[in-house]
Formats: sequence, structure tokens, C-alpha cells
Amino acid sequence: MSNRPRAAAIGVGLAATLCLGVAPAGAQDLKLTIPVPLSGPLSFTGQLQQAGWQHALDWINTNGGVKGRKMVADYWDDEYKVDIGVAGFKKAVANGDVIFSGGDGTPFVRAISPENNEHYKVLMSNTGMASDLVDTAKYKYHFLVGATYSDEIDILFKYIKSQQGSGPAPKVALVYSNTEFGRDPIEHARAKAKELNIDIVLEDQTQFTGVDVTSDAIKVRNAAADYVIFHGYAGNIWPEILKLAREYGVKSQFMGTVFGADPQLVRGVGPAADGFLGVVPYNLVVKDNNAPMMKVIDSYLKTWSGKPYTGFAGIGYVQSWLTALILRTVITTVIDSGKPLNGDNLIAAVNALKDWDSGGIYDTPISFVRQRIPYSVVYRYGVKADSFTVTQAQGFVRAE
Amino acid sequence: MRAETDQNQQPGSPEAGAAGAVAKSILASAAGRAALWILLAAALAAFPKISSVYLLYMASLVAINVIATTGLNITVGYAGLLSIGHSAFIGVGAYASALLWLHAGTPLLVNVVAGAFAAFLVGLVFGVPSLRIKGVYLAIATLAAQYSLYFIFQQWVVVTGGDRGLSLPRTNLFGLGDVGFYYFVVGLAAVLCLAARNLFRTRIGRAFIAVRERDYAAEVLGINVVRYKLLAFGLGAAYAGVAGAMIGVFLRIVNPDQFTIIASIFFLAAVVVGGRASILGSILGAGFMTLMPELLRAVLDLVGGGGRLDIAIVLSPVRETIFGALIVGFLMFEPRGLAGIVDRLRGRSEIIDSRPEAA
Repeated sequence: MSNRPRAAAIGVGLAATLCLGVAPAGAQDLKLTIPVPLSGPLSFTGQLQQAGWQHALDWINTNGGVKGRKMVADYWDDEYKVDIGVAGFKKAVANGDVIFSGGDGTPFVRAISPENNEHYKVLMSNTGMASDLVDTAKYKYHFLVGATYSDEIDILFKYIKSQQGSGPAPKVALVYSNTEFGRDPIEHARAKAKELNIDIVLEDQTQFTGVDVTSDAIKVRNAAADYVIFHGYAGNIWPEILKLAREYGVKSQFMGTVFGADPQLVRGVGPAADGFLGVVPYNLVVKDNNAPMMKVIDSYLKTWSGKPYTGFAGIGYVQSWLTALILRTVITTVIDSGKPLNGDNLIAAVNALKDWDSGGIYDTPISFVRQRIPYSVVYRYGVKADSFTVTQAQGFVRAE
Repeated sequence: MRAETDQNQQPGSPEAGAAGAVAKSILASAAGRAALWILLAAALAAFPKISSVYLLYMASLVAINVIATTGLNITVGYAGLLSIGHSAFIGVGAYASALLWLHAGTPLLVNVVAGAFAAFLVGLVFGVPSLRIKGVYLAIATLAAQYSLYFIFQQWVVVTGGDRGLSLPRTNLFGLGDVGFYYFVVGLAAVLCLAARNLFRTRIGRAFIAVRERDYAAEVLGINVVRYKLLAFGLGAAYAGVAGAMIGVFLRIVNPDQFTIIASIFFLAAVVVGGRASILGSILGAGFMTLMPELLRAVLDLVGGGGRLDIAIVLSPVRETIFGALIVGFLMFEPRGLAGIVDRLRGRSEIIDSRPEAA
């Protein structure tokens, strides 16, 4: 009986300590709203993006948060539809306390930007990397965590030129999908190729999904290009063209961009993709990577039950991590300066980021140029029957 | 022929019968009906006062979809001409009105009428296959409208802006912003639904129904089948054009990916679920298709524990499955759609207009 009052006293004491130790919940939280495509055509990447955010915010919040404040995100499914995305955005920012909105694809950004610029003024980013996102007047509060598709093509061209030496103009075939995603960088690619004296011998616009790629493979064979660049695909069409072209004895060097160059995806294509070059916006090799952030990401991937551990991170996953880390930095900057946490100050802080250390997600310090990060790395994939290697064919370079 | 004739022989719960009796008595009197209309109008007018930005947004979206679904119902339900190209006509209306606004600065009503007219003309053109083929074959032919118009939207870059589409400036209707838009589009939907309902009391509407039932018999009776089939397409497309003009103003963006075959199927599903050959069915169907995914999402959010992330990942695809199952369930158990359920509640027996068309 005499223990009870004692136990009660200890209990009250503990509770008091805990209350003092915990920051006042809710009021100081930094609110984010993140639409992800959990259903619809892009659902394969939605889960990855969300996991990236969850892990990143978990790590940030358990490591001091942002000046002691937690970043709290509300995830919701927009089915990759513009009208649902706009509806959800308006619903989320209605209270005026959201400091950042994610975005699911460029159509959403285009739809919401005029109103966001005039009225809501919420800092935002998105997962699509369309080339016109560098128009900072039109997309005033938007920053792209990555390079645009045009940047990726530029970086591939840089690699191609570096391999040319004193030889004749390199011949390049462009194979792209008949979607906005696929067509996005083509005009820029033509102009850049002219400037760099690269000869585009084939431009083949194909379906985004489908089964029969015979005519495209024949075109690739007839073009007899030195390099064949695939752009605008996920996991369909380009592997089939690649395999068929190899069967036809095509000796060109095949290359892919962004989502079509994901390590796991290329691995799944099989030995036909041996020697494939892919330009990706971030370091994706987490296994045995000693850079500080990559080790952290590796530890989260190892313990994640959502997907089996492969030693590689997906592009959407790393993008979420990177966005969260950048947010932490810019929010800290704005709080330190004493200015209010609004869209204008936050985007100014993003633009002011110079030579920022990403802890290994990029091999070099990065800066934002026209509100995007114009750096990418070119991986070479060695795909054999019993092994899979990823090496850097060209280190991180800037497109602009 | 369906055998539901006398309501006394219909199986149904006593509650439905009692509710039907009450409803019937209210609806029987003209005063009762007028009172219900006034009540409805008042509710719609008062809605913005009590709703959030999000609910107002969804209501405006439903109103736009109602206009489009009513148009499709005229073509598919009343005239019996299967069409899977509806969203392409919506696109025509959207682009036409947007381009007129951007280049000529004309007022909203002029743009809407222009959009409707452009879509009407295009609908006439793509209605031509209906003169030769019927049923599912006609449906495939209307795919030609869908794909060729989509191609034009995408490729005619100088006019339509290609993939990037067109960006439209802000509107401020009646000086009330979003609320003003809501009033405008709901008013427009009400007017167009009334017009459609009255159409089927005129010669034109009756001709559509005759053409649907037996077009050669209609011809024998002196109905110009060519004219009325084309008119059915044109009129349905005109409604779609109005919806397209409104969606452009609403989202302030017009781009080709809004007008794909998925969207066409959305509206076809709205017609089927709501009830073919029924204006009330168009309204209910559009509401169901637009709101059910949101409703399911809200329900699953609650079940999943208020947005707990891992459960959301699993439940999102489940939501799509549930939605599909609901549509299939409707087709299996209530082929007359939501309008059929409403009729049953009102105690009405089968209506001649909604018999399934002969294949």
C-alpha cells in the first residue's frame, strides 16, 4: 500500500518530464501536402515516392527536425488526374498553413501554377521533369529537384562528343514515345545536335506501351547509328526494341534517360542490355556507398518491407529524399533570417542555394539554376546472366 | 420485353412501397412538384454558403459532367446510337471556346455558344457512320472521332499549343470568383437539362426514340432517318461542347490529355449507371461517377485510420476495384441504372423509353 503513493509520484514525475521534454505538438509542425499516384497509370512509382518521403521525414524528425520543429506530411492519391490534383491542392492549402506542396506530374503544375502564383503562393515541387519548368516567371514558386529532360539529352550529347575524339560527326538515333513526356526534349535535342555537330539520322516516335515493335526495330537497324537514345518510356517498348535490334545484329550503343534507365529496370531486360548507358539525375547505388546520406538511405532501404532490397534506390525514392533535405535547408535559412515562412521567402532561399552538399546523392556540390538542378550522371550497366554491375561512364556534369 | 408491368406484382419491401406512396402523392399534385423544384433551387443557391472550397469545386465539376452526360444520353440513350468519342467533342468545345477567348477576347457566353456550335458541326461529321452501321460496330467507328480529334489536338501545335495546351486567364463571374462560377455552371446545367427534357416532348425527340426502336419502321412512317441520326450526334456533341467550354474556364487549362478514350468511357459509364434515356439518370450518373471515387477515398481514409500511410497504399487499388464492382453490380442488378432505382422508389412501373435497345 505504501508503494502506491510512491509509484504515483514517480509516475507523475515521469509524465512531467516527458511533457517538458516534448515540444508543443501541432502548433509548431511544418505542414507539407504530398499528392502521389497510388492508383492509375503511374502507380508503380507512387509507392516509391511516398516511401521516400516517409523515410526522409522520419530521419529528419528524429535528428532534430528543422530547428526543433517536425515536418509533417499529408499524403493523398491523385490518380495522376489533373482535376483531382487541383481539387486536392485547394483543399489542402485552404487553411493557409501548408508551406510546401508536392506535385504529381507536369500537367498538374501547369494547371495550378497561374492560381498559385496569384493567390495561394505555396512553395511547390513535382516529380515530372518537363523542359519548360525552367520558365521561372510562369512557375514562380516551383523548384525542380532534378534536371529537365532536355538537360538529360544535353548530358548524353556531352558524353557522345567526349567519345568522338577526332572522328567524324557521331550519328544518333532518337527513339521516343508519342506522349508529352516523350516529345518534350526533342525540339531542344535537334537544336543542340546542330550546335554540337551531331548527326541525327533517325527520329522515331513510337507508342508508349504495346507489343509489336518490329517496324521500329527495323528502322533502328536501317539507321545504322552510332548511338540510339530511348526517351519517354517506363518499362515497355524500349526493351523490346533493344532485344529485337540486338537479334538483328545492330551494333549501336544504346542509351536511355531517367525512368527508362532505372537500374532494376535495366537489369530486368537481361543480357541484351549489356553495356547499356543510362543518364540519371542522382546517385542510385546505395550498396557499399560510404557517403553519409547514401549510408542513411541504404539503412532505410534495408529495413523497408515494401520492396526487396536490391542495393539500388529508385529515382522517385531518391527524389523524395532530396526534396525533403533541401526543404530542411531552406526552411532553416528562412527561419534564421527572421523572415516569415511564405512562398516568396522560401523560393528565394532555394534560388540562393549555392554549392550545397547533398551528402553523396550528388558527387559534387550543387546549385539551383533557373529553379532546377541541372546535373546528371551517366551509368554503364553490365548485364550478364549471373551478374549485374553499375559503373559511372561519365561523372556528374552540369547541363547549364 | 421486360415483364414489369403492374407495381402490385413487383417484389419490394413494404417500406419502399410506403415511401413510394408518399412520394407519389407529393408528385401527383402540381403544387407539390412546384414546391419540390423551389426547394431544390433554394438548396442549390444556398450551397456555397455552407460548403468549403473543396466541396464547391466538386459541385462545379459535377455540374459540368452533368451537361456532358446529358448530351451523351441524347445520342446513346434516346437515339440509341452508341458513341465512344464523346470526350473528343468535349475537347472540340474546349479548344474552340478557349481559342476564341484568347484571340478575340469575347465574353463567356459567346465563347460557350461558339464551343457548342463547333462541337455540333464536328458531331455531324462524325455521325455519318451511323447512317450505315449500328450497335457495337458504330461504337468502333466513333473511335475514329476519338483518335483523329485527339491527334489534331496534339499535333496542330500552332493552334492548339500541342501537348502543352492552352492557358486561360482568370474569370470572375458576377464578381463572386469561385462561387460565381458555381452559380453560372449550375444555372447552365439546369437550363440545358430542362431543354433536353422538353426535347423529348417535341417531334424531334420522338423521332429520336422512333429511330432507336426500329429505324426502318421510322423511315416507313416518314421520319427522315438520315437527318435525325445526324442531329442526334450533333446535339449530343453540342452539349459536350458546352461542357468543354466550361471545363476550360474551370481548370484554366486545355490540353489533349483531358480528352482521351478513358474520359469517353467515363461518360458512357455515367450514362449506363445513371440510366439511359433519362435526364434524371444523366444527373445521377454524372454525380455518381464524379463523387464516388472521392467518397470511397474518404471512407477508406477513415477505415485506414485517418491517413496512415501504409494502409493507404494497399487501399487505393482496392478503391478502384470497388468502383468497378459497383458499376458491374449496377448493370447486373439494376439495368435501368440509378434512375431505375428512383423510379422504383416512386412506385412507377417500367417506362417505355428505357427498354434496352435491340442489338
